[in-house]
Amino acid sequence: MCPSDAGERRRVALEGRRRRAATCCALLWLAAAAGCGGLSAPQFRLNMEDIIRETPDKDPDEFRITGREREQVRQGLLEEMRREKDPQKIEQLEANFGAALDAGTEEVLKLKRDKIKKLKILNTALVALFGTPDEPYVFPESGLDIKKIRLAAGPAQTVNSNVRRGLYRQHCVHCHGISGDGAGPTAVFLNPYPRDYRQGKFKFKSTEFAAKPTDADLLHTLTEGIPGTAMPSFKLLPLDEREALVEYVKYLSMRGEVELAMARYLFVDEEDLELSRSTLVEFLAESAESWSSAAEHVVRPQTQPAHVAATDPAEKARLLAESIERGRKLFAGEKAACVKCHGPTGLGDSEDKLYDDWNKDKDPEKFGAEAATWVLPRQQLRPRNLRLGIYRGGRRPLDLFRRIYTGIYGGPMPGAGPSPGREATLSEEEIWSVVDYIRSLPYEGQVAVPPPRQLTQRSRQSGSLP
Amino acid sequence: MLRHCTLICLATVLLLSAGGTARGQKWGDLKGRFVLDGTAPPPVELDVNKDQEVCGKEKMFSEELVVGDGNGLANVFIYVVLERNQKIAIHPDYEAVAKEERVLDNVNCHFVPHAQTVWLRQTLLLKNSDPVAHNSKIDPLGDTPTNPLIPAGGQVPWQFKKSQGLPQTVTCSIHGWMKAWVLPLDHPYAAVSGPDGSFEIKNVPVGEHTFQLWHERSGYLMGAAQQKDGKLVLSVKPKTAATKVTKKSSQVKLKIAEGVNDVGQEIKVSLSYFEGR
Ligand code: HEC
Ligand code: HEC
Repeated sequence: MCPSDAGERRRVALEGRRRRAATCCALLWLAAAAGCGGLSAPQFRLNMEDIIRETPDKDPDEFRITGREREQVRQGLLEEMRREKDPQKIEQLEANFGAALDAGTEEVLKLKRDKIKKLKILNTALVALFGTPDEPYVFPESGLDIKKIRLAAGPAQTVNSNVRRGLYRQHCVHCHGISGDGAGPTAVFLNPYPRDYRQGKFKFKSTEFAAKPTDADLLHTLTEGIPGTAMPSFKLLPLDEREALVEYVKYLSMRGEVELAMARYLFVDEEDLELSRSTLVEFLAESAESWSSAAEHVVRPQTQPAHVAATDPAEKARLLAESIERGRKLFAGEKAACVKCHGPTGLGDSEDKLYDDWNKDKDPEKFGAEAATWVLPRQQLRPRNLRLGIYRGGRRPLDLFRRIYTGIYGGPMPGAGPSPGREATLSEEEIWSVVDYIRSLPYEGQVAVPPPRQLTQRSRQSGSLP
Repeated sequence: MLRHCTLICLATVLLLSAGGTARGQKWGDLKGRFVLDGTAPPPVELDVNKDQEVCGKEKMFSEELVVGDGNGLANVFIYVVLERNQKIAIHPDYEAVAKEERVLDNVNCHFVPHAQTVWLRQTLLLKNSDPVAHNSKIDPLGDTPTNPLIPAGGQVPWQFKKSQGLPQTVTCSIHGWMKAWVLPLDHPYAAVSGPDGSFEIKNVPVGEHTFQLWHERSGYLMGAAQQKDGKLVLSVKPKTAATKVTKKSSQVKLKIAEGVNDVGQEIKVSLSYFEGR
């Protein structure tokens, strides 16, 4: 068929545009939530990955109108337009095309309609609680500081503009993404991927296993970066800007946690969410509390290794050597069992099927063709190679103590310290010995016995208890 | 609005069980047995790639679908689902049960039992009877997660704080094939079918309750209740590929009478529930 008359041509052009718009919507999962506003102000996107993974049927198509289903409805509507001869009615049909498409698809999909409606409610609730990337908003109950958040939010400013704003989009967004999903445009090229803040899980911190990081922890991460990963140091930014960014990370994380709590309520418990202030605050409260109480959960060892207290250099060296030897035995034994993952020589080569919490459920077998659409494919997590002396959570003995004591949250490495109601698997003294052993690993084999001077220097550092 | 069982709810349960139950409350036991309707596919052998001396003693198979004697279907969860703010009377005998620990043991590098329920008043004891180290990684939805290292012969008590709608997994990161299911609930009216498919829930308050049926491989099972010759009979509706099973549509209301309610010794679960995954 040749589109000879102008009306027909216009119709074909329109159709093309709509087709693009339709696919864009389907892909962004926003058909249901925010509408497809084109290039207007950026929006936070819904965390569909986690919602799907946590929903009992784990079927992505449950939450959206699939391209094929939409196409069927679209064809139906176009057919109707072709049959119509009255130009005024055609005009009308064209004007209402989007709405008719939505209505039509929903009609076809009665069961999905409920879930899609709930996605809209979820999105509305989140906008009410947190605003948008350009216009952030926080409830006083969140405990967040809106002034700091405003400094970090919004579009990145040009160099010669003297308005300070948009720090997050200037410094972090290309890795961590506008929604804090760890899936910015650079992310796919990185290993490990940038942190997805939305589950409220952070790995490198001073607090107990499942506790939130303190502000100081996040500031430390920002200031020092994470050695051995793409996460850079932002030492050169003024302190108030780094603090604003810390607040913004907490804001994105809290938003993500509240989103997941609501999504569980809507899709796992299959309840209805009432959009009242008190309900919203109830969902917010739990996350807010965990953030504001983080400092109460800092892990502080009660003891120091014996060699730190010793003053005589020879005695110090002897005690350290003893401690390292004890650490070596523990590391390889059934009590501490580090060897199971980190390998007999500490190369991190004993376990090759580990994933962290962001990747463990991304089983391509379970998700079939859907897996091909993931922005970030499943990524393995290697146990750390301890011979390199590069530690992501800091290299001070205290940092390593905390890693072993609590384990690493969000990943498979277990904790050896006490938990409520139980004695520790390893005593503090034993953990310090394992720390001494780990710190000796990068030098092992290079020199049989490390020269005493180096030892004393290192032991002095290890005295840096809080 | 109470989303999860918070402390308030826990306190209510405590109050109720500590003599708050109405005098004259009558109780009934619920029992029955699930069977697989069809021939179970052969179990999948697991890849045991570590600690062979302990873990590799016997061939190990996936416990995703366990069928025992007389085609008994094991590991079906059956439990009372409460409405928001709904309370349920707790029989005085459960006072002793509350003090019993639930145990999740590591034996020859697999979790024993494979599936169980825990009342929030109970402690789950994570135990390791093996001569090798294990860890138990638990990430209950919306509840505090944990991942303790458990040395050979060691044990770690764990307290869930939230009632869940569905069983949660426990895994061991050191031995990647290990997996167990635990369902924390804010009441004790729950059971998991044993190796022969049978289950029993003691002392349920007489009256109508909503029950959920769930199996790890199939997800929700669609329960249906009938009165036959004055007796309560439970069945599981057959499923086709096109059937959409939701939480609500799969729940079944059972009217518990005083005494023993045997709802069937051959509650058939069609094979189609376990196919196509
Ligand atoms: C070049 C990419 C990149 C940029 C830019 C970047 N990050 Fe990261 N970030 C990472 C990666 C990769 C990780 C994860 C490291 C890991 O998992 O070991 C990470 C992790 C983090 C963490 C989590 C630490 C933990 O304990 O779990 C925080 C917080 C963080 N980044 C904040 C920021 C902030 C704020 C900015 C902007 C000022 C930023 N990052 C910029 C790549 C980046
Ligand atoms: C179940 C496997 C497993 C066991 C057991 C295990 N680890 Fe790890 N370990 C890991 C993984 C995986 C990582 C990398 C974590 C990450 O980056 O998310 C890691 C990281 C580390 C790190 C690096 C921390 C940093 O800041 O970069 C140290 C140190 C470490 N482990 C020490 C130990 C010690 C000591 C033990 C024994 C007490 C132990 N691990 C037991 C899996 C394990």
